[in-house]
Amino acid sequence: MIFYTKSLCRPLAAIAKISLMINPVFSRLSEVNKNKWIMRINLIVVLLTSAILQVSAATYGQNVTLKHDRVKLATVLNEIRKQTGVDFVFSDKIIAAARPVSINVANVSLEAALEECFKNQPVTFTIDHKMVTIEKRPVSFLGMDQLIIARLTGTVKDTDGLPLPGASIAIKGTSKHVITDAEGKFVLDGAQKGDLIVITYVGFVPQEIAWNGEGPLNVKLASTVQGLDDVIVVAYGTAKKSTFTGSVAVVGADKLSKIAGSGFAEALQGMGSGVNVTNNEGNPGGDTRIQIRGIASMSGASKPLYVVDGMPYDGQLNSISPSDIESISVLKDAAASSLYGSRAANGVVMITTKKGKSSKPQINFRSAWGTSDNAVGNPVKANPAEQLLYTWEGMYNDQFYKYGMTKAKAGDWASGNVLGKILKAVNNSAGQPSYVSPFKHINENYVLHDGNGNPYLNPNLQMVWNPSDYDVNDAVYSRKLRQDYGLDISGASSDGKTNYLFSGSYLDDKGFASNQYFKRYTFRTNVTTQATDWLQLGGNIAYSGSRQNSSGSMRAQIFTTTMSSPWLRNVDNTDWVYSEKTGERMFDYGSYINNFFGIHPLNNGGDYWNNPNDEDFNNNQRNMISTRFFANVKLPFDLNFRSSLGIDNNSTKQFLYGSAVHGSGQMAPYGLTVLTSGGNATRNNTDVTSLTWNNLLTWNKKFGDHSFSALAGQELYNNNLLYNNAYGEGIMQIGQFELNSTTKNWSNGSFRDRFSLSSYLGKVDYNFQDKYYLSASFRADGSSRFHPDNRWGSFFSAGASWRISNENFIKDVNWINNLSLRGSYGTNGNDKLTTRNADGSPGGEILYAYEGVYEDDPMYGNPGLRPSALATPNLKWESNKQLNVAVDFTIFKGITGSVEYYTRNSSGLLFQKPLPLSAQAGSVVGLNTNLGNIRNSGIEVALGAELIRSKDFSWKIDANISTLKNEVTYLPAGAFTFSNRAATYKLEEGHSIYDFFMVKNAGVNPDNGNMRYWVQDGSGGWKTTENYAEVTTKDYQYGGSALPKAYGAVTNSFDWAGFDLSFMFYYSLGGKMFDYGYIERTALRGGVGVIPDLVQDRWKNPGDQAKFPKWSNDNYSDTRRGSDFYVFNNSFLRLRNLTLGFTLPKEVSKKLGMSSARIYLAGNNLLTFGAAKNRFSDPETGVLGNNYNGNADTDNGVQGSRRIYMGGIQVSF
Amino acid sequence: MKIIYKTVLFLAIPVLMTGFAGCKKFLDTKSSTATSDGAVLKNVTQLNMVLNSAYKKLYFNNGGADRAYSGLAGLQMYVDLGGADILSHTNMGGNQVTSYTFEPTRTQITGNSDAIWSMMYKTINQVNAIITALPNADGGAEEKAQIMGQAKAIRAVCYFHLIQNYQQTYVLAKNKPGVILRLSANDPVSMPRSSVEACYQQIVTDLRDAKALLANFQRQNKWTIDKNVISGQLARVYLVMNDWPNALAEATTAYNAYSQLMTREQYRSGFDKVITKAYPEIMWAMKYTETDNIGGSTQFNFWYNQDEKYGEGFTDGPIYAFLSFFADGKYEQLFEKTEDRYQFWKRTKNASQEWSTKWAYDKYKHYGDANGAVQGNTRPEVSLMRGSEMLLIMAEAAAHSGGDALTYLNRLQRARGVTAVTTAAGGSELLEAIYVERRKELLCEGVTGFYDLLRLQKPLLRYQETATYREGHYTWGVNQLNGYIASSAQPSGTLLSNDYRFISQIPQLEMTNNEALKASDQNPFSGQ
Repeated sequence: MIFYTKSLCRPLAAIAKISLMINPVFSRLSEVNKNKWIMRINLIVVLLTSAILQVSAATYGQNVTLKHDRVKLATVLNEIRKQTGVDFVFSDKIIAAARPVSINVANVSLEAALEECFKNQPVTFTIDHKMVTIEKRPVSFLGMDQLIIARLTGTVKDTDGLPLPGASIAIKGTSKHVITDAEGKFVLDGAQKGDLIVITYVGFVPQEIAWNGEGPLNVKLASTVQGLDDVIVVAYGTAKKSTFTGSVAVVGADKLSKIAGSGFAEALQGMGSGVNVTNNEGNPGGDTRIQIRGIASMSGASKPLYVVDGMPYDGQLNSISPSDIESISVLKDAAASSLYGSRAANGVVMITTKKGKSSKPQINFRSAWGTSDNAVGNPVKANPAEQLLYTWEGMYNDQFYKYGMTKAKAGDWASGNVLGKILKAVNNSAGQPSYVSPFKHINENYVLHDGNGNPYLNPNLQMVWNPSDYDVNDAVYSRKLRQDYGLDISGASSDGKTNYLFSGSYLDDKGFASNQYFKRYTFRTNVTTQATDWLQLGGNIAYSGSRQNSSGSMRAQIFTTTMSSPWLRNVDNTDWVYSEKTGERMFDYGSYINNFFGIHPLNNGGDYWNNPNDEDFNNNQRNMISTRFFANVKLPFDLNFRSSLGIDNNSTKQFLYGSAVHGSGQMAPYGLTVLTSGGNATRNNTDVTSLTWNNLLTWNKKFGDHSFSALAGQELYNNNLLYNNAYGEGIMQIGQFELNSTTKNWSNGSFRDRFSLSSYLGKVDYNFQDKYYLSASFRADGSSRFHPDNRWGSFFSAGASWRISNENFIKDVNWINNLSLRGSYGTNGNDKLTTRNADGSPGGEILYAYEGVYEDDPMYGNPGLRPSALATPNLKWESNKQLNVAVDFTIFKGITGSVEYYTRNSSGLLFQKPLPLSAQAGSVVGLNTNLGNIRNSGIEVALGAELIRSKDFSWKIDANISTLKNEVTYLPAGAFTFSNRAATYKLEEGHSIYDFFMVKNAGVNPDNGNMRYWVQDGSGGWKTTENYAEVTTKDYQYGGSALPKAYGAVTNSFDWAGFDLSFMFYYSLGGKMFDYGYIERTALRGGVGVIPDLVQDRWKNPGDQAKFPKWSNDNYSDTRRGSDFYVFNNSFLRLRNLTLGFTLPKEVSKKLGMSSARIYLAGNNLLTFGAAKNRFSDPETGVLGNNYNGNADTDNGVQGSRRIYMGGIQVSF
Repeated sequence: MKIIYKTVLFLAIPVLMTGFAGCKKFLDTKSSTATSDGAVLKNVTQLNMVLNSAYKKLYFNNGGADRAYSGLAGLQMYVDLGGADILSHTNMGGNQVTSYTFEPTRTQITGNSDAIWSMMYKTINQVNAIITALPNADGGAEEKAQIMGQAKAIRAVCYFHLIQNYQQTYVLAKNKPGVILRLSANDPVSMPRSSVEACYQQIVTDLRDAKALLANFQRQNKWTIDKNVISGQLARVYLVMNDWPNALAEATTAYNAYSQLMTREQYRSGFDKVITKAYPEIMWAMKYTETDNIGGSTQFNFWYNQDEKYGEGFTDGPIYAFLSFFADGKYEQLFEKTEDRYQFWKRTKNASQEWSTKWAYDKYKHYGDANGAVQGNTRPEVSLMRGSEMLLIMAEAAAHSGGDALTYLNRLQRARGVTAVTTAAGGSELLEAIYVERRKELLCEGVTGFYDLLRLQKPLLRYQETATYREGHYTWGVNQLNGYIASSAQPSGTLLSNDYRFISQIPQLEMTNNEALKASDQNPFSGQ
């Protein structure tokens, strides 16, 4: 072990020491017969227990009165002992096999009471004098009243009456078992009266029935959804929900399947309390923002850790097919997540993929077809006449109000110049000056006026247009087909030792805008086998390939008016100009207008794989190979060893092409002529391989009422990224899009990045009588991101819960079915230093934060170096202290719920503290430090109620609400303001990290139509000003936080006669949004189409009480200064999902050769309520609450969330 | 027994493999592209690369603000847009427009004030790293001297721009707070403002040191600073300090090496190939290339200067032209129609009167180099210092110190084909003639504009367009200045000499993050 360094290997040495200590025990053990040794221990336990219970007899013969509901047999026997004085002899092992007893007898004999107690029990009793001996009911023993029953038949159905094919029926204590057929029927030979029949089916609550020997056994199994005894996936293992001390939100496959998103992350919205999901990209395959219990970093980064089948997952979330997912657990508090140590600072999302269930192979096929549009409708732009008149008005205002012309002269000036403001003069084919627009050109002013400031359209003008040719939204958006298919085959070998699942899926979502699409193929294999008694092996291999076209809507759409078409007119305005290659219309790159945005709104309409019209494209192709392997070894002393290896490989290739044919220099013959400078091509390739290897030793043991489990383990993680890119220009061939065709101006680049973690972890759980639970965990992480001296961080958690409902004093309260209290405290950390962009959004991660380095910065081909990071060897882990208290309950049998309160105090946050500008050098703008504290706290309530449950009809409601208070509690560098497009924020102690901080608007001055602002008057008061120059930061005031105060969802589900209906409303309350889109939609601005629906309430004449200031044509920006005028309350309610399904009656589906069949219709985001919608803005924004469409973070600025309509079938064979 | 053996094996494998994975090495990662600071700072060859990068920052402000703030070439726009001779249309919004309009938003809060500050300090701190490390680095003395000389010269150039933009001019503000003098890589993070006097002393010291260090240095290209560039720079500095003898001496030294002035053909063919065509009077110039450029944000893109035959839209010409800059009507009147520099015409075919009535000006034109593509790339070359300017400095310095100013002035005027050359032998008439000549000769070369207004303590005065004087300033270039009355017969706007609206405020992020600065250290937003 000499190669170990001191700091790293200390925990390692400790483990080595433990294994050395164990070794002598093993060696001693091996000398004797191990089985004998264990038997001896059991005997001792039996003797001890018996001794305790063998108290002397008192009043044998006395009658017994008992009243218990589902208590342990031992408890009842103890009661009988007290009442009668008889002694009982039994061993723990035997009594442990007994079922809980419900008994209500009064004044009966001992024998009768015992008969009642032991009814349906796998154990029986004999009375000998004053001694009652309890022993295992002999299976082969034929009592006088027991007869061999040759055949037991029956059916297994779910609570809706649907047969469950593949359910397992076994006789407890024997190896006899059968599987139900397609109709849920089974035939089991060799059962006896009194046998315990165990019926199991994955996903349903198992049942044990003592067979009374009569008739067919008809069993209904209840689904385990959200049940107390559900096994949930937690860090490094599973736990029963009822015993778990941590906070976890679990979402099952049935819920996930209702959202027709590209990935599971979209579907998580509203599904669990404490999990805030924002679908801030409406394009297919777009990313989703997930925050678990707030934001705990100065940079605003809140990305949780994703764990797939027990291993951290680094790939694209959209690479995983949602239909492959069995369940998702979101770990929220320290007790749940602390085992992930440094990586759990923002919570953990654990994804478990489906596995084979029944021994009868099950084939599921599903397909869905649908289409989509925008959840919030697009505004209608002013028609050409309106656009001319609006522009005239702004020009007139400038001349009359601002520059002092008379009304008549101002009108003349506006009439004479308005056309030139919008359109560019061209010479028609006859050489005469002309204008190309939706109007037939006349040599007169297009807009006339009455000399009094009132314009009107020249009556001689004639329209030469079809409105749809001039509607840019119509050109960009169209409903297209969305298809989704999935097939999986799963099962288990007849001995139950091997289970398998094979699945495949295909998604083709063509989106709503332009040529965008997301196509994904996935394949997955999941096999687990019990190779020998002591060895279990398993593996899981998934491949996913996707192709995406990133074209879509963009800001260029806003910068168009109906005065020009997206397509090119000929110069005589008589026809379109067509491509001679494809016959498609050519695009107009601002040939006839003065305010071309620079990018065509139909930009990127091409596609790498199919580009007949030689258009620009932006595509990417992703491939994921994700593998998980494990070996599980059963060891003596209830020990279990598991070694797991996970390898993920994700590669992304981006394909960009700038057209060689289409562009502002396009020439005749159109579509066949290459631009003088040709086309260009870019390729960006990223390949990330991450590897996780962990080794876990677990131990489970029960001593009487005491249950222990413990885990110790070690984990290695490594992430390796390879990147390269290349660019070239001068593609002079049509139909060629590769770099090989480029001829000049090449550039390229590449780099590699690696980071790694080495970890040791341990956990202990303790449970007493299923009433008291304690848990504690520990993890030590060494991170490559820190200097060797500060590399290691330790994280711990402790949790406890108390199942009050198992206490005697509350047992008799009928309406309380379950009540438990739980609490936890613990830490986790973070080693990811994410920079904060100047606009306040999260930037990139710094992987080598402690090193001082220079980066390449060549000039004119000569090598150059500039400082890029200052050395900060003292940088260390940030810490996150979490407290969670909760109460869980089930009352009146049908109402379940939980209420939780949490705080998250994050301190020593990793942050790049900006240096004074005068101390910055090269690309160094800040010093990497541990700076500042943030506190998140909130209350989370989840409620579920089965309001009606009858044979034919059921109604369930699930609701959740989460509150969030985010507060910067310590900011040693002092408060500072930051701004992005027009919005300003301030980061200050006592406020959230995204608090708007802007000048307050004082409304429009009715006298002159200028906007007014509140500024300090210098003597402690406030005054208004129309001069924005007077506004300084000291006049700014807080305007609320971009983060919602509360969010959640309400889901209703109905079942009736084969029909199922469910709908979920998602809501978000109290957040603020800066509506940048609204600025552009309400302004009069060169090139921007006015939205008449929004701008009617504007100032036109002195005395007008108006919302919007006087329009100006030559100073657009002065009419739209940043202020709280554009900060709106962003509370909204969205019909996130509506599903109506119908399951074919059994007889019908059977005739069709299927075991079950369901057809359904579903819609996502069908309705949106809230103020944003009235402004044509989508309420789901980037984390900054600003919907400026300048980056991917806020894509919804133009496109918005999509509304998806789907219909489909689900068939099982 | 078997099971136990296996158990031990299973437990031992991970423990061993963790070790073999290279325990320490497993957690040691580093960037595949960065170089450790220790390696860079101890080696002269590497320090020379740091110098290359400092030049890049100075010329391109890569990673910083764009357009009017994109390095020395961008600042040429910024300085002259603050004067009276250029009009900027608002057609393409951006910082070149706010530079022209004196937007009242140009305060510490909006970010406009930090562009020059950041660009200069990032460069200064980078050369400070060189200056601090060089004495202890491995390398030859000659090479060290060359690097040190250029580093100090760059630092002086940066401080000279800073001090002109963040405080009033030297002669009346010597004792006012200047900028923060950071001279070593070991300086603390937070430092106070030094006096204007101290800043100028440092600038002069750095330039004099640099001149000595580069006495025998032969540069390979026009963008490298050499002793003549330093002399020219010293002449500029002394001019601001009103140190006339030194200004005259340094300008003369520089001029003597670059005295062959541009010909009529060279001047009229535009300033976009000053390096390639080897105009002999060019002392210092940078160029935009395929690898180093600022896209379509050069002043060549903003001037509405393309050949009319291409059309009147910004996508019509051989470059992406923003149709933004025109020459002022009063400026046009300064020229004789026959002199070489008369390159004005109106865009009468443009549909908009806002464009068709203004004087297009052809000093800056560039037709792209994308093989004649309709939309070519803007890759011009930009003169940063030339002999003509030296001649004008000599004239001004001589006029103040009793030298032969008129000879110098007339030499330039005759070289430019002026027929009615100046005859005033001295006094304010001669000084005014020299100033007018500076404006005519050096428009948009970043040395006149508001720099001259501050230095000469002149007011800014702009006349708005009217129905009879259509080639005047746009309304937005006038109405945010003082004294603007829309209804007057000839509306005009002015900023008094030394008005703080010429001067930038200390950026907010400096005020917040520099613990040595108090709120009272801030410059006023306006007023004298």
